[in-house]
Amino acid sequence: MEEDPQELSYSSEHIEQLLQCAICLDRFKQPKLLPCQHTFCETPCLENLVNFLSRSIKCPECRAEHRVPYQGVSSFPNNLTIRNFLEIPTKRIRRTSGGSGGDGAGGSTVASGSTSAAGGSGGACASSVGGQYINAVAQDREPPTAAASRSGCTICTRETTLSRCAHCDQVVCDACKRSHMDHIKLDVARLVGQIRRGIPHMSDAVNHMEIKIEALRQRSESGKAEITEIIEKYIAELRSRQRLLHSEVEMFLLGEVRALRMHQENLEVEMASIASFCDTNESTLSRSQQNTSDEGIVEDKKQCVEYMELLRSYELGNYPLPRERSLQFYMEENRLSNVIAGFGEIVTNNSQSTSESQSSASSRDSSPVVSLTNVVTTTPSLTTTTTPSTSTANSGPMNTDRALALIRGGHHLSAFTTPSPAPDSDSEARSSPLPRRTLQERRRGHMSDTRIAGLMAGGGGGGGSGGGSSSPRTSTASALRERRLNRSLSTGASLFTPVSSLTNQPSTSIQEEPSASPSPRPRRAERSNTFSREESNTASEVVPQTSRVSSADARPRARPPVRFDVGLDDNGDQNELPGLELLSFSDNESCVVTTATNNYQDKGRAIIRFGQRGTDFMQFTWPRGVATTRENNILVADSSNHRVQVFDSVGKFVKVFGSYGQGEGEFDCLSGIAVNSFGQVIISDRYNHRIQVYNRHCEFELAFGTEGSDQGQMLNPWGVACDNMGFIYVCDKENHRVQVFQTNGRFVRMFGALGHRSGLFENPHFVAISPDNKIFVSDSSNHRVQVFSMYGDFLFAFGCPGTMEGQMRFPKGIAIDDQGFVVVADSGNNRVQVFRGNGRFYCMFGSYGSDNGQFKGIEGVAILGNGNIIISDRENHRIQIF
Amino acid sequence: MAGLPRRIIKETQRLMQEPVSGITALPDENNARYFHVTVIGPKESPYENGTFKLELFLPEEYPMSAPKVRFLTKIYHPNIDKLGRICLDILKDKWSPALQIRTVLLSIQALLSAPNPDDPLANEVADAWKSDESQAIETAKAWTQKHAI
Repeated sequence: MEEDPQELSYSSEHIEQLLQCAICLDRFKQPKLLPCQHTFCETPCLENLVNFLSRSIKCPECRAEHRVPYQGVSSFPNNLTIRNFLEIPTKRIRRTSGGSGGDGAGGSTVASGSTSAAGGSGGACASSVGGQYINAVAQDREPPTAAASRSGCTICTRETTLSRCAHCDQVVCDACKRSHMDHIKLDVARLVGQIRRGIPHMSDAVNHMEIKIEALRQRSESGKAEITEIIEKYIAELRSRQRLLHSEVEMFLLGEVRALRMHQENLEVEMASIASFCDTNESTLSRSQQNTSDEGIVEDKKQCVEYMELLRSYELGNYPLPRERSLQFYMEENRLSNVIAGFGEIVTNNSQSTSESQSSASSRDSSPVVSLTNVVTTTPSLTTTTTPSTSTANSGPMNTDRALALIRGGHHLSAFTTPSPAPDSDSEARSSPLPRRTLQERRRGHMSDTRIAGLMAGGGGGGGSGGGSSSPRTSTASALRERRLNRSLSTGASLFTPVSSLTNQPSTSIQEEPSASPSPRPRRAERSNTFSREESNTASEVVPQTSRVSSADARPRARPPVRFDVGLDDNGDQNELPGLELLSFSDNESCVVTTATNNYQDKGRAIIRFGQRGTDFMQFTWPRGVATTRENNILVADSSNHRVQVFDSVGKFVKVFGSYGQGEGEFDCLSGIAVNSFGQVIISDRYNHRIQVYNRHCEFELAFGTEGSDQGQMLNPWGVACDNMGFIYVCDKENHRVQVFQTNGRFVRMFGALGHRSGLFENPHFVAISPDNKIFVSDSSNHRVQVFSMYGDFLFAFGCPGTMEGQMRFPKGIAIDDQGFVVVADSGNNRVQVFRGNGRFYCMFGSYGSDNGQFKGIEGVAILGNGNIIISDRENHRIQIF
Repeated sequence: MAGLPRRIIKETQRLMQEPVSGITALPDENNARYFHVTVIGPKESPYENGTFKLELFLPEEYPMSAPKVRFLTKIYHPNIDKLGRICLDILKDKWSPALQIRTVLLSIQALLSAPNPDDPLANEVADAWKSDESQAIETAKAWTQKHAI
């Protein structure tokens, strides 16, 4: 009630605003109502607005167009309400212009206030301690009234000696005041009692703090111990790595020395034979020319010339030696130190539930939990298991996968996630520094993922999230893995022999190289296949269909993280980098596929180019996504023309569908496009923040998604992809995540958030699914491609900012062929890079420009059935096929 | 300036009495239709912390036609060209007399927060924005640092 007058004065201002014409900003003069219900002055405002050519008027408020009646704007209806308002308050406002405003209305409130006070009479004053005095308000507002009633008590209205109440500032008689004060005293007593009762709670809290501190201290201690333990372990691992490297160097030395010795012996033999030749010849010559035939002498002469030749070469110093091999210790210097610098993280956690799940030692309330998280650059997948933010909203399979990860992670994961680490004596034998180790754990984990996926697909048709149905299989698979793991651990000690044997027999690789390498680029690829060890190791997962045979007995062995590549100095022929790639950290597993059936290396000039800027057929305005159908048609998301154009595999126009708008079958700057195994076309309708699904005949089927950041909502969805089970993967660009949907649009899961670490994204643009169900995401603003398991667990990443081979800037489109080769649109460098399925660079082509084979703002890529690569060359508004 | 419309006087008074945060607009002493404007670059945009000078002129037909606004400070923005001209619909065909100086300037401030490279004025900038958005944002920041601070 107290607010009443204020509210009124406020609203009078409001009313004054409502009486203002939006055009002249003055009070309405002859207010006219337009059909859209907006009101303006007749003259000059509306009159000036009329478009005399079309006899129409456009409402300045809502831009609605109205026809102007024949007689002009004056025949628009008057706004009578506004007119009444204009008439009535004029006097009032004039009158109060000097005062506080809205006084007239205020007066009536005072009146009603005093009547209600009279109704409440005596009790009103002491009704509550913090109570309000309605009369007091009235007094404040209207001092004259208070002065008039000063002669009587405001409560009992009797005229006695009056004094002012200290509590409520009222003029009351003594009797009233006394009872009023008694009330207040009672209240105070009651409150004091309440306070007393409350004190113990506070002291409880004090004690509790003490306990808290103690617990915290204990936890920090155990955390410290944990850290020390882990660090010690890694130190030990580094040590054993050192031993291993030393032994490898020794091995290399032995081999080299043996080869040199052999050569030395050969030379000695040669020398002896030359000497004996000299001896015999001399003796023959001295024994006069009796029985030496002419032919014999000629023969001898020839022999002499040959020996001379040989000796001359020794004279000059460039005598032939066995192939020389140099040795260098190579490592990325900063890498390990970076890893170390970023290793471990103290996670303080406020959330009770997650802290409990993480460590049993954590107590309730908002006490920080110390737990270690691995933030190694190559394997931050561990963080996903401990960071609560990413582990939200997982459906069944994801959780089981997590559990699997724990099992397969062996003591590593347990060391990170639980306070009681279970040290594994075998770990020393395996002796691999942490990044690769854990990576490998993940890698092997993924193998089972695909296997499970296969089971799921085979058994249940693969629909839905299917958490319950898959769980028994997962458990068997995990048991299987554990067995394998054990086996691998037992064989761990003898792992490195294959390497050394290889280094001892360089001849095999020498013979292979010249024959199979026409240019330096593929040579690099070839080199990796000389190491059979790696082949057998990773055969099963990289390209399952090609070499299951070798994977059958390929035990998942712990691989040393440093590949011991020995560069062969081929006496200068075509080896421009002698001994450069000697001992290198190989980032990922090498790959079985040695040559791509799609001859990527021969690409570089477009076979077919078509399109230019425009809105006709065969013309584009910023084409973005491209996709291919099973019939080998090409679909182009013609973004700013808001349509999809369909071409056949040689670029002949087939049809077009879509137009601008928000309705069904309409687009607003579509960007991503994909075709699933049922032939349905999935399109990301970017500025409508939704996904649309069309059937194989390009007829609209459904749309899902709205603007927002919740599950199933999206902000500027960009790339889309489908796996062979029909799940739809959407790059939710502005939400920096990937969302997975069923074909019917039901949300399944999502992963990723804004960030730079592994598993996090910044503006993910495109997504592609490999034949073995890995998810490749172009994490554009982080200049890398990240690879996830089908459940969204981070596997590995490749690419870093730069212009060299394998480096990229703002990668956009991704396409993956049947062999698992990954084609990446390196938009910042205006080129296409091809990687192996494991992220190793394979080849590249393209440069900036608008000629054949040049790009400006390359965006989408797709691969046709015949291996041709389709590229949308956005700023050139064309499509190129390589 | 004899016949300065009441509307312009009112708007000027309102701008003085209730200034908009991040925006100032002062009428020129010699020409009440010409305003010296500064706009502070919006938070979390590449123009954050920048102070951008603009000029705003109310033509004879105002408010029936749009005010003329131009950036005086150099700015890297897909909808603002080298000369400081602004590509904003309400300054062109979408002008409505119900809009005011205040709303126009707020729209310009909003345009700084949300560049629209699909409707470009500075084509090169828009291209850069589209092909390499983060790079463009970096450039915009650099320009802000160089010219507007």
